[in-house]
Amino acid sequence: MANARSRFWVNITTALFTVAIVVLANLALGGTRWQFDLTEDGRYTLPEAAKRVAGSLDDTLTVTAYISEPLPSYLDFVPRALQTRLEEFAAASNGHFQFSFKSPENEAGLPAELEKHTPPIKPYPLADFVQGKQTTGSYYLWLVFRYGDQESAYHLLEMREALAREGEFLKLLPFQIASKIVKVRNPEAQIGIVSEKKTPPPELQQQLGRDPSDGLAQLREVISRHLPPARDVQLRHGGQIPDDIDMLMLYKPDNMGESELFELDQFLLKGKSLVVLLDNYSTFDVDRVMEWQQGLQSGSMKMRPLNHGMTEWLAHYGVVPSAGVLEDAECSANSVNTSMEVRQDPATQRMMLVPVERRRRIDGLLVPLERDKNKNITGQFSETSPALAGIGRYCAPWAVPLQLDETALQKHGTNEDGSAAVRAEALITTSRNAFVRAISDDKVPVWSEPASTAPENAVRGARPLVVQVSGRFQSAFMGRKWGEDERPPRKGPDGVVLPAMPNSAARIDVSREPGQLWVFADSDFCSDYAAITARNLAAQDATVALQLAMAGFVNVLDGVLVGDELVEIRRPNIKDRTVDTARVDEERGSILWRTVGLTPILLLGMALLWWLVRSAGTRVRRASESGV
Amino acid sequence: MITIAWKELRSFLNSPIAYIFLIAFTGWLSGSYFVWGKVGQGLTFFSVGNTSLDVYFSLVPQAFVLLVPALAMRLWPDELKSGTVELLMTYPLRTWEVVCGKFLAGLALIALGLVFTLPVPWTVAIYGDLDWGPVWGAYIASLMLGGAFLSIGLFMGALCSEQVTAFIVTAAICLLFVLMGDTLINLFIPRGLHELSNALSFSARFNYLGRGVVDVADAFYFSSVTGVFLLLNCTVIESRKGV
Repeated sequence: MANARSRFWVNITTALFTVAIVVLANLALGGTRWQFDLTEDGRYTLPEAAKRVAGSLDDTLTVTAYISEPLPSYLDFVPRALQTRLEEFAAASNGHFQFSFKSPENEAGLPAELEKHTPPIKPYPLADFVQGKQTTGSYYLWLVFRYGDQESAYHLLEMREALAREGEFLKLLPFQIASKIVKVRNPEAQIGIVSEKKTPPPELQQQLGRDPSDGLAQLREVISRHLPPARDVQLRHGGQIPDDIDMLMLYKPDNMGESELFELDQFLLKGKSLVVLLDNYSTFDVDRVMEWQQGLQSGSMKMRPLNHGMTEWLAHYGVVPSAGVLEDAECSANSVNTSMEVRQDPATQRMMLVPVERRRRIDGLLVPLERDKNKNITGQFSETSPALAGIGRYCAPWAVPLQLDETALQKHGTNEDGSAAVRAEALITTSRNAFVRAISDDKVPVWSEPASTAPENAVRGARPLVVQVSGRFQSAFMGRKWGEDERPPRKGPDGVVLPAMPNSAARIDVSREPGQLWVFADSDFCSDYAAITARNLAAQDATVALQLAMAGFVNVLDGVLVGDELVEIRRPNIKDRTVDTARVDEERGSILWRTVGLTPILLLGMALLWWLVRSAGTRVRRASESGV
Repeated sequence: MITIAWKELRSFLNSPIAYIFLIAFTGWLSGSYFVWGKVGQGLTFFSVGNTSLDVYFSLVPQAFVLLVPALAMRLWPDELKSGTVELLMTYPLRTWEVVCGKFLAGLALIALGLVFTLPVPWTVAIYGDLDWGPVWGAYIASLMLGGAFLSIGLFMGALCSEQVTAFIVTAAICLLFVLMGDTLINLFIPRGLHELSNALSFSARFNYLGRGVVDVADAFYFSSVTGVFLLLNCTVIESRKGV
């Protein structure tokens, strides 16, 4: 008995000792970061491009994390996750990336000092629960980046819902940090936007506001996250592009005159980048909200024609736009649900609104895919482009028919090594079945059931949707003079022809530095109102495609302005992992059978098999025991 | 040990409990994800719209909290009640071999249950670009979580000779480990305990592994909880032998 008792105590002591060792080992391992990232694109590991960004620092960049202590309980993980990522950046920076954490509430005078910062670094009110009771506190969640005399502040709340989800937070943080590094390192990078602001219709001014808008608020916000805010550039009536603009975005050009084209031409020849978002028709402009809502209901929409006036100028650079809109049955498999419809009630014979679930095709809404349903490459995305390859799908609503003209490119001559001075590449195209639909009365069909048919004489072929032309250009106006002037006359606000604006800069006929011209066959993909409409229609495919098109567009801006690193870091985060909803809807029964129905049947089969094997074994054993 | 494991596994397969466990487990997961939606969120594969299986695998801890204790509850109490444990201990086997044998049998059944969920990721991969990394991470996490719950269930089974008591106590402890560190639960406990709660949490580590990041610290934590409860199980059985 005594022996048993002593064995019991030995066991208890051994167990307690082992538990203590295990606890200590866990505590020791808690501080380590031995991790294996199994994800396909290593999205929880600091990307190589982010390491390159940190490694390229040639001066000390300091990051001060102003984080309240404690944070609301649902943000408990933030300091730890932030520290992990900042340590990884520091490790890749050859000592040029330094960081520290400060809790402003615990340092006297610091909150007042931070208040003077531009923008003011202030705590933000957030709800919290403390032991079950709801409270509201003010919390600091800021990162301030300092590099030489440059400073940039980042409010972690800009990450919105990702801030409250650790996985998302860890995944997105490298891009946010890298983009701030890029921003403080490139304080001069400037994007200009040429656009026309429209006023919302009076009946919607209460909802949308009275201020005129170009519908680019979302794009401007995305740009300002990692670059200086985009500046409005006025080209009308002889307006000039400021010298410090590195990239100009020409949004939905309309009635471009010779003096505006000349200004754009000179800009391009300076070795800068021009992005043209072309359209033959105005669809998602704020002043046309009522028209498109009605059009979406009735199935056809009266469009406002746009006369961009750039056909000849673009043709000089090898991109030839034409009239009409593109349609492509292979690219417009996206559809929307219409929830209500006027129908006659068979019982009462009265017309009434009845809910319907019907998926309709929007023929003009082109959504080219990088891979088809069977995951085969469609050939519609250029694999060589770092910016647009990898986004998976793109969206071009009612796109302008474009064509590349190689002979026009040859006119720009050759480089010293004999290679072509200018090259053009279609980075995204339609399928080979695209055709041009001529528009009569400016009325376009919005949706059809099933796909609308092409006109009999339609010529089918792959059409470019995004084109990049780069190299050393020769001016579209080379050698041309306007009377005695080297520059074209301008038109005043009342249409009166005025002399050319005085300009001290010498006119350029051949580019000194290689420039880039990007032509997008559509402008609506980055319109706030297109995104709102897609969401309102619950058009899931179109919503995702619009988001990806916008992501691709920002990739283009980043790639051109600050290098491809940001594009590379962002790529895993924008990978298209949506399911093919149309196919899922079609095969719903088969999905349920495979995932819910099949397993119980397999298990019952397994039970039966096991029972058969067991009873056969028992019979054999009995037979051998009885000597038969 | 392997002999014991095989004996226990056969005993599982001879009884309806294995099939009930497997059908309940796969039915709970697939039914929740494809038919009626995750409790409290109503999310289904058809409403999520992407290939992420986060919602699907987040159902595993819920299912395990009920099903693994049910699986474990018969491993010791049966033997203790019928007295076969004394017979078992007369075999030339060490206590740890018996304990580990029973554990391996239970773990094999859990692994079998996970194998039967494979049609789900395969199906999802047909309709979109599925990243298999997080899927494998979630399987590793599920197996580790199942192992930890099983070891708790075995220990409780050895302590309580009644199956129902063992089931209830095990389920309660497993639930506690799952709820600890949960954002919602942290709202109701003092701030000073958040760090401890997060450190002990199963769900936080499960989610981390389930994202496709295998952290050695998380894997060691699950393994050490499993090891500690198996060790305690041995201690309880040893002490019973001595009484």
